Amino acid sequence: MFSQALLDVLQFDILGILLLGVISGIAIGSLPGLTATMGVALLLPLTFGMSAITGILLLIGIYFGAIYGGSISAILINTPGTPAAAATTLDGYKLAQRGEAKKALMVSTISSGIGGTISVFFLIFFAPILADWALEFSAAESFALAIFGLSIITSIAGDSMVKGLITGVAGLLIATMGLDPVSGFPRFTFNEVNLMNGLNFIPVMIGLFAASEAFKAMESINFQDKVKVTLSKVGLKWPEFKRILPTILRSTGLGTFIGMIPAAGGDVAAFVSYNEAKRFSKKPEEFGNGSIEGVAGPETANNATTGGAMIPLLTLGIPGDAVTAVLLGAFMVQGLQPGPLLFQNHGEVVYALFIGMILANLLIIVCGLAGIRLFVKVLDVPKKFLTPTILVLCVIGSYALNNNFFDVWVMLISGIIGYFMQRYGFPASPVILALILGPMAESNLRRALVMSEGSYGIFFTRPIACTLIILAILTLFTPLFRMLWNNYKKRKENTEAI
Amino acid sequence: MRKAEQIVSFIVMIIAAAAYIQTMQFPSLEGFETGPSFVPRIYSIILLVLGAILFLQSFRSSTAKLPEKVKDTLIIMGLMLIYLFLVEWIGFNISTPIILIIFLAYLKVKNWISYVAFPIGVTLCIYFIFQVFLGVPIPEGTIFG
Repeated sequence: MFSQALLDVLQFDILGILLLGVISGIAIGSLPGLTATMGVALLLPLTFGMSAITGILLLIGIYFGAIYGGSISAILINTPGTPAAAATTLDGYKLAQRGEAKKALMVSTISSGIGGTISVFFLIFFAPILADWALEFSAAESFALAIFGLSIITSIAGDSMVKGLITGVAGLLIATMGLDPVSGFPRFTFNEVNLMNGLNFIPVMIGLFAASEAFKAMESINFQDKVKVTLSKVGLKWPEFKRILPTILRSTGLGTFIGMIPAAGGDVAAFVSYNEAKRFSKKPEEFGNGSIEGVAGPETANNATTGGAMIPLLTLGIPGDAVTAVLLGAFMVQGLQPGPLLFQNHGEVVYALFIGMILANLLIIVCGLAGIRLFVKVLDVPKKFLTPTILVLCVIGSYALNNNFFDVWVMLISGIIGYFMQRYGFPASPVILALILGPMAESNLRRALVMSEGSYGIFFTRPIACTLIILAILTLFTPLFRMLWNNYKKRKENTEAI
Repeated sequence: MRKAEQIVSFIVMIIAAAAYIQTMQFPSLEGFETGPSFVPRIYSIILLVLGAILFLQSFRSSTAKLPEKVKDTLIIMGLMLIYLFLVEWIGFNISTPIILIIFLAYLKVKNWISYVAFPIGVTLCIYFIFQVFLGVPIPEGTIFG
């Protein structure tokens, strides 16, 4: 059956479709405002007339490509093309600012491809076991995972811990806008119909990152014309690759596991992996200033979630993230029912998908590396043309989400606020972290408390939840204590010097 | 930076307090279920404390003014506001070339060919990628119903 599947896939038309999918996915992912979920959902109808393997592989190509593609704009213009690339901006853009965009893009490409490929192997060999484990995740565990993700706020706060925490908590507060997830009561909506679902975080993200960056570029538009002054031709060197390999392997594991958990996807995995990469790094002070580990970590993890998310989808029929939810629909349109029987009834399709997925990830490496010369050309476009184009893309990207012009206004306001935030040293990343993870944390907290009938003990009696919460507390307070300790030492030195 | 930080700290504290006051209008807990005000209140209290800390810390910042020039940026922000109103009114496909021409003019672009090629080129590309290839609707404009 395996060899039959191999023959099925290695046909020109299927490989061609896969390539088309990957390239389209990369393009879609790199455009801020278009997400992997949107790309797959929008092109799903194209697959109705195709055979099962062709259609699903097209969508898989788009899915994998888009999750990688988000890193391109994250690195080049400090705007995550997809939410999963939000953590990539932290170090990726700094590398680009230093002229090392090529290196950053190479790291991202290779990490994404490796992470994705290994996660498919997890899928192939361990799917049933891992699926059972993923089902252990209930509200308490999801809450603990969300809190763990949020705890990295102190690590990405940048120079001022207070300012980082302010933007983060403000983001958490803004995330509560809309209908309360448990009781349905409208919070902070001020009778505005558009706020019933709260602020959509994608227009906020586009505004805070892309628009504010464009506004900032205006400051120097008349004397610094290009985005980059000198571009280093140096790519990734072998010793550097060896240095980031542990990060890649660790992040693959993290990404695959987080991908398996229903409702946790690439964005959560990227931030968690960034934090772990920093924790285990020999040079943590490089993070936030252009560390290649800081790019490898999130990019590996977000692509690793693709394989991980396919695990519950294929074995149990439960989607592991938003995109696999759409893919579930694609399967059913083709007459395939994902779940335990899929392997029995349509084994050759499943094997073909496995092979296709591995090929898709390898194609990401090929296309990504080949395309770097093209991507980097973006930096050659004079700012006078690039900046207005970005602003126009922000508008259409924010609108594309829900066809609601209100989102475009949200984007612009976020952009204006984001510009002033940058100016006065308030970091934007904690806001995105809060908008993504805040709702997940709150709804699961309250659901867990309902399940435990009000007892907070549930978070300590359940081992996975308890572990994650302890890790969260450690992650949250370690940078805080380190900062306070450093300040204390500095003051001691100053007084002793006198 | 100090003045800005002080202003921001006040804004933050006011928002935190306002949010807390708003939550007093939310329905309260029933039994052992946590109500809609539970989590927002935690956030607003933390935010209030952080705002106060920021205010105290601001005395360590310099009182020098920031060197970056904002005039161009503010004008671009104004142009964006105009752009959004235009798009809502006459739609994306017409407003975009118009605003791009205005942008180029403000940025003192000399090459007159760009004034034609660039706005039309960008709008066409977006039209093809978003509307034709992806099927994503583009703002039509209220004037067209």
